[in-house]
Amino acid sequence: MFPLCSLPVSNVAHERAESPKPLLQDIDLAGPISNEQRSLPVASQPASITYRQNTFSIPLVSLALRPSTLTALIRSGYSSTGDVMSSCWKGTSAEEENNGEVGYTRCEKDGGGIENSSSNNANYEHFAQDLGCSSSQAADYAHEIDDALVSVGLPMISARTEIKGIGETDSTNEHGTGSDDSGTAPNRCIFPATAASILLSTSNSRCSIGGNGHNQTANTRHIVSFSQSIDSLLGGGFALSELTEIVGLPGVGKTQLAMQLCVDARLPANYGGVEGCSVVIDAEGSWSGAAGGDRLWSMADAMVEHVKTSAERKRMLKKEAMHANTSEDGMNLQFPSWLTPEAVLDGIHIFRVHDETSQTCTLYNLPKFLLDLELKGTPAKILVIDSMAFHYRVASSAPAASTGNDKRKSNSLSTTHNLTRMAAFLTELASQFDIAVVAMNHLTTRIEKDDTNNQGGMKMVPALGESWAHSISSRLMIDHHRHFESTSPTTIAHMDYELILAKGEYINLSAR
Amino acid sequence: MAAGTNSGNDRLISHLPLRVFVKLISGPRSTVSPIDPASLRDRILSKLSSEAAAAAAAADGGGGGISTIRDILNIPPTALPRILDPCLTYAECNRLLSRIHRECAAEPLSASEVARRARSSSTGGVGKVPTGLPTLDGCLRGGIPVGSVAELVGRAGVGKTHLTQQLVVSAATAGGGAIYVDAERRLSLPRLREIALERTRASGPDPSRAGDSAQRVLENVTIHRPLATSELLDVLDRLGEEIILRNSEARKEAETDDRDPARRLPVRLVVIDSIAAPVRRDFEIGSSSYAAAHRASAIFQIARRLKRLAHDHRLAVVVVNQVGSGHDSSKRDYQRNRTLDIDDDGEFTASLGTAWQYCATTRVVLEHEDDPHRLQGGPRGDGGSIRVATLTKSLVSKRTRLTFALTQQGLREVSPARDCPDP
Repeated sequence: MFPLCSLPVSNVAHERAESPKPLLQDIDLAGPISNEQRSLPVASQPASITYRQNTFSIPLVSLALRPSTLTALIRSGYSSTGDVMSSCWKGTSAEEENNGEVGYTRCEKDGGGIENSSSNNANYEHFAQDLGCSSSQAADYAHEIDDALVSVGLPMISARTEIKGIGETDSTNEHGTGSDDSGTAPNRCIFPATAASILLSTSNSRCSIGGNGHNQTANTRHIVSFSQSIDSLLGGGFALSELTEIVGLPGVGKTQLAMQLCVDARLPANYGGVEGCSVVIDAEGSWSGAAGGDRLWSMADAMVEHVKTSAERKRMLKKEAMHANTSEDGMNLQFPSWLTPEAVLDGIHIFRVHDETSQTCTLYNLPKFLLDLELKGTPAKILVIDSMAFHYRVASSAPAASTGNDKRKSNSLSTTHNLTRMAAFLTELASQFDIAVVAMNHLTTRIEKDDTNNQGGMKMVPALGESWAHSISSRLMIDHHRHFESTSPTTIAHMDYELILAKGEYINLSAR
Repeated sequence: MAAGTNSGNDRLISHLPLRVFVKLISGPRSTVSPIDPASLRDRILSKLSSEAAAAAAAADGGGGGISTIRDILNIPPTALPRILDPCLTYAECNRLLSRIHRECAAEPLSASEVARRARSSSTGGVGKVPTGLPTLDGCLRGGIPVGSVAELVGRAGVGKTHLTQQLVVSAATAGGGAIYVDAERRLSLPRLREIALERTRASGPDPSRAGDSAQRVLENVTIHRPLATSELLDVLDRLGEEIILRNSEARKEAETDDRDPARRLPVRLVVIDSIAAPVRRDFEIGSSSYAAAHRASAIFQIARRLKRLAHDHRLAVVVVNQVGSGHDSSKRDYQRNRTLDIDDDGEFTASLGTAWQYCATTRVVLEHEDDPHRLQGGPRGDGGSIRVATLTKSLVSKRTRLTFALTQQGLREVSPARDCPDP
C-alpha cells in the first residue's frame, strides 16, 4: 500500500514472532520535539501535544478500512488522516493540557480505552458533529483508523495507548503468527519501536537452545540426499530458504527421495547435516500407512549405521595418525549418542491431510508450529509436501453439483487462485524460517495433435500450471530410463532403473 | 458428495466452535453491541450467505453464498472484509481466517509413532495382508500394507479376482474381516468358499476344523454390488459406518471362544472389484477433453474416499483395475499402458491412466507370460498356463517378478524367486 511501509524481509527470520514493524528512524515525525525530549520517559513530557499534531498525513483511501467507514468519512469531507486528526483535537488542547498527566499515567498502566471513555469521547465530539453520527460511533471510526495505522506501523492519531490484539495480526501477510488468545495486550507507548529494540527482543526469543552445532548449522545451507548425482545437479543438495519441486511419473521414486531427505535432515552438524526436524504434509497417504512406516524405519536405521561406521573409520584414522595420543574426547565428539533410529524418526512430524481445505489450513497454520519447534530447541529444517498436486487436481476436476461446465471451470479457477497464494506463502515461509521447502508434483498429459493424429502427440508436463512453476527455485524431474525400440522393453527398462538406484549412493540400499 | 461425509471441504462454517469467535473484535466498539460470540457468529454467517457473498462468488461462478469452509477459503482475503463490512475490520477478518486455519488444521504424528504402528500387530492384529505368493510377501515385508491403497492390474481372465478372494481368506486367517465391493458381479461365492476350505486345510494348524475356519471367513465378508459410479460413491460413503459398527461388535466379542465360527472380526480389508467397470459404464469413452476430465474427476473422488478409509480405519484397500482388451502390452511402454479404456489410440487414455496411477501406493501387475513356448493349453483342469506377477510400484521394494499358476487353492507360486531380499 505505501512505499514507506515496505517491510524488510530478512533471511534470518528475525521478525516473524510479532507483527513486523518497519524501521521508522528515518522519518522525522515530530518537528518540534528535540531528540533530547524524545528520549525522556514518557510520563514527564507535557509538550507532546505538538507531537500529535504533526504534519504527517496520509490519505484515507490507502488504509485498510471497512467500506462503510470509508464511505462515511469521505462523504463528510475527510480525505486524509490529517483532517481527522485536526477535527479530533480541535478545541480540546486546553483540556489536554490539564489531562496531560493523567493521559500519560494511563499510558503506563494496563488501562484500556474503556475507562477513558469519558475523556476520549470528549475528543471526538466535534468529529461526531461533523460526521453527523453519535460520538461513540465517531470514536469507533477513530479507533479503526488507529488500528489501520498501527498495523502498518505508523503512529496513531489519538492518545489511546493500547489496542487489544495489536501484536496479533499482520495485515500484510496471509497468516497471523502471534498468539491470538492471550487477552492481555502489550503495553504500548506513543513512540514507535526502534530497530534496536526489535532486534533485541526477537533475538532473545529466537535464541535456540539446540545443539552445539549451531554455528555450523548456519553454514550448512543444503540438505544432502546422499546421492552424489542428485546433489551435484542441485548444487550441493536441497537448499534451505528455497522452494524446490520434485516431479515425475508415478512410481519413479519421489516419495522415496523425500523420505531420504527427511532422514538426512536429522544428520548431525559435524557430519555435514543441518540437524533439524522435518515436517511432512502427507496428502496421498504414502507416509502414514504401514509401508511408509516400514520404509522410514529402515532408512533411519541405515543412516544411523552409516554415521556409526564413518565415526569408527574416522577414529581409526585418527588413531593411526597420532599414534600414542589416544584421543578419547575426539571419539566422543564424533558420534553423538542421541542418534538412534527412534530419535531420528521422532523428529519427523507427519500431518495427514485428506482434502484441499485441510491441506490449506494446515499449511497456513504451520508458522505457529514451526515457531513452537524452534522455541523447543529443535528447529525444523525441511518441509515436504507430498504431494502438492493431488488435492488440487481433485479439487479442480471436481464435478459440478448443479451447473455442469461452469462450476467446473470455476473450480479450477478458484483452485488456481488458491495455488498462487499458497506458492507465495510457501516462498515466504521458506525464507522466514530458513527451511527447505520441497513439494512433489505430478505429471499430466498435454495433448498435441499432429497431422497423423497418432501416438507421438502426447507430452507429459508438470501439473499445477505456470504460475506455480515460476514460484519454485528449482525443479527436479525424475524419469525412468526407458528404451522404446527394444524388443522386450520390460526387462531393459526396469533393469536400468535398478542399476541407477543400485549405483546411486542411496544410503538406504544397505538396508535392503 | 453425500451430505454425510465429514470431509473438511464440506464442513460448514456454522459448525465451527465458538472459540473461533471469542474475542475476535479488538478494542471497544460501542456500535457493535453484542460482542457475545454466538451472536457475532450469527451475524457473520448471515453476512456470508447474503448478497455480497453471492457477488464475490459470482466471480468464481458459484452460487448461493458462502456456507462451507472451503468457500470461505476460496475468497481472496482482501475480498472478505468487503463482504463482512460493518461487522469486522480488516485486521479482524484476518484474525478470523487465521483462527479458521488453526481450527481445521491437521494434527501431527511423529514418524516413530507411524513406524511403531506399522510394526506392531497389537491393534486388531493385521499389519499386512499376505497374498499367499511367498516372493511377493517377502518383498512387501509381509503382504499388502495396511493404511494405503494397492492396485491389481491385469487383462481379463488373468486371475485378479482369484487373487482378491485369496486376500480375503488370508485376511480372515490373520484375524481380520473383509468388505467386498463387487462392481463387476463377478464374485463367485462357491469359489470363495472353496478357496477358503483349500487354503485353511493346507495351511491351518488343525485341518479337521477347516470347515469352521472357512465358515468364519464367509461370516466376516460383506458384499456390496453397486452398478453405477454414483452408487459406488454412495457405498464408499457408507462404508465408514459399517466398519465402525463391525469393529465395535468385534471388540465386544473379543473375549469369547476363539474357535467360534461366527465370531466377528474387525475389518481389515476392502476390495474394490473393479474400479474400471463403473467408470467405463457411466462415462463416455470419448476422446474429448471434457469426457476425460469428467472421468478423471470421478476417479479422483473415488481415490480420495478410498485413501481416507484406508487411513482412518487402518485397512488395506485393494483395487482391481482392467486393461483394455484390444491391446498389446509388449509393444507399448511398460509403465503407461495400464489404462482403463478400450480404445487407446493414445489421446486421452494415458492421461487418465497416469492420474489414477498416482493414487495407488502399491501396484501388482498380472499377466500371461507372452512366451508362446511355455503356453500349455488345456489338459490341466485348472486351466493353468503360467502367469507372471510383477510388483511395479512399492515403497519398500524394488520391482520384482514371479511366476504363478492358478490352482484349486487359488494362486500358487511356481518357480523360485528371481530376486528379492529376505523380509
